Amino acid sequence: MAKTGILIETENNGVKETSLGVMAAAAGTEIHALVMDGDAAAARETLAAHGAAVVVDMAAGKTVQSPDQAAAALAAAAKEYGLTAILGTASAIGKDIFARAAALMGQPLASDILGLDLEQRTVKKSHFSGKTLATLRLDADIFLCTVRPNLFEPAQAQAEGALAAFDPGVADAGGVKVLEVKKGDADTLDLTEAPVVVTGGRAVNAAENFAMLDACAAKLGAAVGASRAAVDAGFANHAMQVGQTGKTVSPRLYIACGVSGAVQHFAGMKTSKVIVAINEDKDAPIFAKCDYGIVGDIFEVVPRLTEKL
Amino acid sequence: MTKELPSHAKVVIVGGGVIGCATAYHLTKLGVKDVVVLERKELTCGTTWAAAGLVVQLRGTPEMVRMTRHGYELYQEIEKETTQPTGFVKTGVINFATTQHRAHELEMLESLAISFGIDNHPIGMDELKARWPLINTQDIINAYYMPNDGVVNPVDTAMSMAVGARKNGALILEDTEVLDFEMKSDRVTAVVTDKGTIKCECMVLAAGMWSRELGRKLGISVPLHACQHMHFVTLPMEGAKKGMPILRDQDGCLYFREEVGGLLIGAFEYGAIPYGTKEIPSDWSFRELPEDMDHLEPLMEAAIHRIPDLAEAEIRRITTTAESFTPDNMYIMGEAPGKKKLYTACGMNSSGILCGAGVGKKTAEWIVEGYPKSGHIWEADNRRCYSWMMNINYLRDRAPETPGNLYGIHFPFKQFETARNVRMSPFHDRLKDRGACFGQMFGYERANWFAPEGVEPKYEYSFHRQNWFDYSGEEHMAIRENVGIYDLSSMSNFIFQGKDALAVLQKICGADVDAPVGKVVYTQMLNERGGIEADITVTRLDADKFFIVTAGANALRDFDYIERAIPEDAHAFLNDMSSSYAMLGVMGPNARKLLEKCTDADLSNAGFPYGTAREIAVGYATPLAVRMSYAGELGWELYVPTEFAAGMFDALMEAGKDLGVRLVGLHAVDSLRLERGFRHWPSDIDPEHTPLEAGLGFAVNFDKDDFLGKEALLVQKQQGLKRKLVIFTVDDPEPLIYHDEPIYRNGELVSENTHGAYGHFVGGSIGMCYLKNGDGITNDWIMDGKYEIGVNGKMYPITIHLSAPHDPRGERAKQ
Amino acid sequence: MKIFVCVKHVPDTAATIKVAGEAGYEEGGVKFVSNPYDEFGIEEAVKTVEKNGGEVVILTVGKAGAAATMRGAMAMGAHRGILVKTDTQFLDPALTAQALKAAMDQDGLGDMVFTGKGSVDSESFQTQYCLAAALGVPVANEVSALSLGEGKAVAEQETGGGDKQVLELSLPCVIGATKGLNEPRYPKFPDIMKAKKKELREIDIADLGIDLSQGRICLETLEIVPERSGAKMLEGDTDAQIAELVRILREDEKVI
Repeated sequence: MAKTGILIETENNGVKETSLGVMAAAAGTEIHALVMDGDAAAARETLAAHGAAVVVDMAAGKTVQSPDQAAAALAAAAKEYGLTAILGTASAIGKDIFARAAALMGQPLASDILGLDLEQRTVKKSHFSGKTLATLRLDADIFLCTVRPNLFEPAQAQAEGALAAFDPGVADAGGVKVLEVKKGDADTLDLTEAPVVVTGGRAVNAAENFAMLDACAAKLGAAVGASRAAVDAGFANHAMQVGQTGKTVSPRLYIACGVSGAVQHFAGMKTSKVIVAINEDKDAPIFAKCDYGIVGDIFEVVPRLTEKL
Repeated sequence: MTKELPSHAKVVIVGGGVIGCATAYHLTKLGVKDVVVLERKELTCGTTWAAAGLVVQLRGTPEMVRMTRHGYELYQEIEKETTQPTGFVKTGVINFATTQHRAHELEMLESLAISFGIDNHPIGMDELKARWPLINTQDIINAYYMPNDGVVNPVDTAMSMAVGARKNGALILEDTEVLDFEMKSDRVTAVVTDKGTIKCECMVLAAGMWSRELGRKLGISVPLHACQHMHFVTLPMEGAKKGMPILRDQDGCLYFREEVGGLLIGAFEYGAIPYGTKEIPSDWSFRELPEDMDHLEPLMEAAIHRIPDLAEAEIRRITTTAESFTPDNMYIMGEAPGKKKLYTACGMNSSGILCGAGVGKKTAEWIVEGYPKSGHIWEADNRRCYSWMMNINYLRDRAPETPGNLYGIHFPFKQFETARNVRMSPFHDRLKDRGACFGQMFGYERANWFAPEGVEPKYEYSFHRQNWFDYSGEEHMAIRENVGIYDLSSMSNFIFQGKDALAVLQKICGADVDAPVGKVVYTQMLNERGGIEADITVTRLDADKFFIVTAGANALRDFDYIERAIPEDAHAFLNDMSSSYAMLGVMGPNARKLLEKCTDADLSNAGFPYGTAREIAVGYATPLAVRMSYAGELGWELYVPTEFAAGMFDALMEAGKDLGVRLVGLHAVDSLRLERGFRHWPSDIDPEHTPLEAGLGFAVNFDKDDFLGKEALLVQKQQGLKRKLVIFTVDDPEPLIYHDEPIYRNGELVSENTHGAYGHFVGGSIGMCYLKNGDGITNDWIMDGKYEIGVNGKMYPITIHLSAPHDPRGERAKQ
Repeated sequence: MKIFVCVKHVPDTAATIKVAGEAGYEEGGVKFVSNPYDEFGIEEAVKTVEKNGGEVVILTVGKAGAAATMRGAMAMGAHRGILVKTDTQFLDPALTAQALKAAMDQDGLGDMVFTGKGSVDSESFQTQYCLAAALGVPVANEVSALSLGEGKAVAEQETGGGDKQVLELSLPCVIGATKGLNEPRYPKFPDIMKAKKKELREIDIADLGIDLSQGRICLETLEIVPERSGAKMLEGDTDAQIAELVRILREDEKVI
């Protein structure tokens, strides 16, 4: 049986949902849950319930000093347990550690994958900003993948979950030192990188009415954008413009409020994962190109939506 | 929300750009609601989205101005109806000159603008600087300001018309790609798409640069070719202000306008890069093409020269996309010749926004009324698009020249430089050897003038007397005083035969063509309104066989007009014989003397009267000799089968040697016909003017049974004329006139010159114009006025002639 | 200082991609640009050299057409370029890194290397790491702030949700740039014209001893992700519609 290592991420001493999802992606293999920070013993039960045959406690009293150390630890674990694949979450940190590990090990890596076939050693992932889906074959005895968060549902699959302590024996911190970790200010979300975008169109009707969208966005952890029509009318500034002549965004959720859906607007947001449109005009072109539509007055719909979130 | 493709529509419009949207909008305005627009991807994603959105009203011809003006007005009002603004901003336009020729052209345009009712006035450098603080005025000679023009947002403009069309009942389907057509004889019965098939009664091809290949599938000629077209946009820069006029630096091939606090710089350059010769990708959607820096460099240099601050401006975007251009820079509109209820509206040559509404309106009229009711637009009519023009090598080679011509100096007699020697008469090389300088008309190389020995046969363009002026004058005088030969093989001729041929002709011609065999009848083909559809001669070769001659440029149109008039079950067959015959005109007082040397035919007035035709021997050839003269002198037109043509030419030249025969070019033929007052379709006569108004009443036979337009002409005759075509000469021999110069009566603007040239025999410029008077026009009223013409901003007295200034009774041709 | 900036020649993100064959796409007529994230690297390198002196070398592994893209990078102020020519758009990142290293070895190693945080075509996010490993130098990715000190660099790395960690790297190092590091400048007309005359050396990838058959990440298929066609319209009164929308976003789509 193939042996898969999963790099487990924890928070508040619990296993992250996203890591459990990654375990689900490796179902059918002998899963080694690699716990590098956090309390492996405390997590053992949850990990066993989600299919971990072995829970590897790599912290062993020490904390990892640098990303290169983490990568070296992963490489050491792979060797120790004879892993044929190592999976992790495609978070910023996860992608960083895996890329370091793959380079260190000289083994192939697929980042931010959308599908996985461990037997065929193939993965599916986005190419060209989501416009195409690529199938890659990773031609090696061992390979590494980071999986897009939330893509796989955590699944119950009771396994032994034998706790094993492993000291990767990484001493050298490498050329990269972590000096400090800064917590971000969630308010300064960048439009192009925001996971959720709420956009207002001409129907917003006045600059001050954008406050209504700001309120909704705050609830969603979203950035606020504007259509060209709203910018031209002076309701919003150019930096907020989404579309052909503005910014291109690709959030997982895009909510267009009172945007008619000029073609140039689509050019700037059509790679969004889910598009929701709220518009009074049932013939508005936006409804032909979005996923969910609500016909209604944005001044009625948006505040109530904000309430509900 | 995905809309289903309906099984049927009265009108299917292929293409959802500004033209398709405008056509749908105007159709619904005219009451046609059952309209479906099919767009391959998304509305405006072809070329409309990349347009600069300039709305500049001053165009080359009155009807083009009218079309532009319709859009100009609609774009300002349509928001009221659709709630979707077009983004129109009245910025004005400034043109300026940095060369003497351009300066002269701008002066001419001032006169043209007066004729067309457009404010286009000169401004000083101070005002130019004030309106455009960023400009370098150092090398600028003169500048003109048109305060009323402006810009729109192209996408919003198309969308607004789409909204209006939808509101009025049209259905617009995106993501629906047209793959093929179902045809039944000369009609499109259904349009096949990737979403199914839709039956239709009527179809409009408004597919922009895709139209050529779709046209091939439809079996029609849509000669256009895409070229790369580019613009730059800077980041906001000091001195770029909202509402600044569009600045056209035509000598630099550039235009400038404000865009989001910066400048947008667009180019119409010479040697444009052809695109998509093989095909235009069907998945094209808002596509940008890779830029060619070598190509852009001179444009960047020119831009910095004009706006020095551009050297420090950050270039936010370089957009290279593509747009379709036609071989003559004009649109392709109207009902396709040879087809029924199939219309084209494409080939916009980068002016689809400014003319979009106008094109949509005319196309809608064409569909509903059967003709463009608001004014015929021959210059853009698809009946000038010959099937040979679909030749891809021709289109590809011509394409690079057309964008540059938009901003080039529009010299009189300017010839295309690319794709030459497409069609050549059998005499071509002989004429070339004798110094001919050729011009191209609908692909046909025609000798326009002859350079004497030692002179290079090459145009030197200017707005004054060009280098060939005197040579052409000598040719002119040779025909007036001795004898000359000209090659008019480019003329078109048809054989029309069958038991019902006569009846068909009688129905569409104003004159009685039921003439004896051998008689030549000069006539106009008329429409129901009495308007002149064509100006032709009909020679009866036999009881049921007619030889019809028309101008080369009009062959397709006239052929189509006759063909449409043939009832379905009639025994009448029309053949275009133009490629089978070459033609030489032997004209002048000594024409008879010359011909007699190489024929045994009796050429006397008794033996070969004026207005008759028969085959005679000329050398070894046996041409059909027609005794008519467009030059207004004694002479014969010799229609000769092409393989005999060269031999006949040699025989004539040999025979003319002692007489000092002179080869004559077509510039001279034009000036000769003007002196003689002969009309030319379409400059002097067209579908909107009747023979009565054009002074061609003599060619209409009211005693004839019912013919098209008879009713209307009788009413007009009874009510009296309100306008009349007159000939005029400019008293001062100096100014040269071309077309559309303003004409004043007692100081008041009343008309414009239809077409003018220099009459070498009368010694001054000659032109024609329609004089109008709402209370009725009489000879007394005409002669009562004091008339002037405006040339380059100066007024010159003119003399009106009720009949031709030369040989008013037409005696010389009959001598 | 001598700074290399590794720039990838990629289709404009706005370009329509048309798949051709199993794993290819049609390049004809597609507008190519510098990988947008690489532009942050170019800007940072140019700024650094403007301040400290030295030269910026654009290094690209790509098709012959990449030269035009490199001219664009040079219009932003880079001094010269080296194009390692290959016929593949999707090279195994490990091989790309080998080729980059070989080219650097040939040209003389630099004091720093910039790349983007990833490329927008293959989105593999690892070439900079492979390169750093090959060069034996440290690497930091998703760098949105950078300061250089004596023999070291201090970089801020985006770690998601607005969080950052501050890293110290010894020089030379590889920096994967991302948005926020700077505002890449737009070129000016004179820069564009000057860029045409700058040195651009081309090397065939085979001449660097790279064996393309050694690639272990193989692109097997490329499929178009279909576009949306028509929304699901939510029904009922406003409250019902909103309730249904929130349920869908939470439970079906899992986007909130």
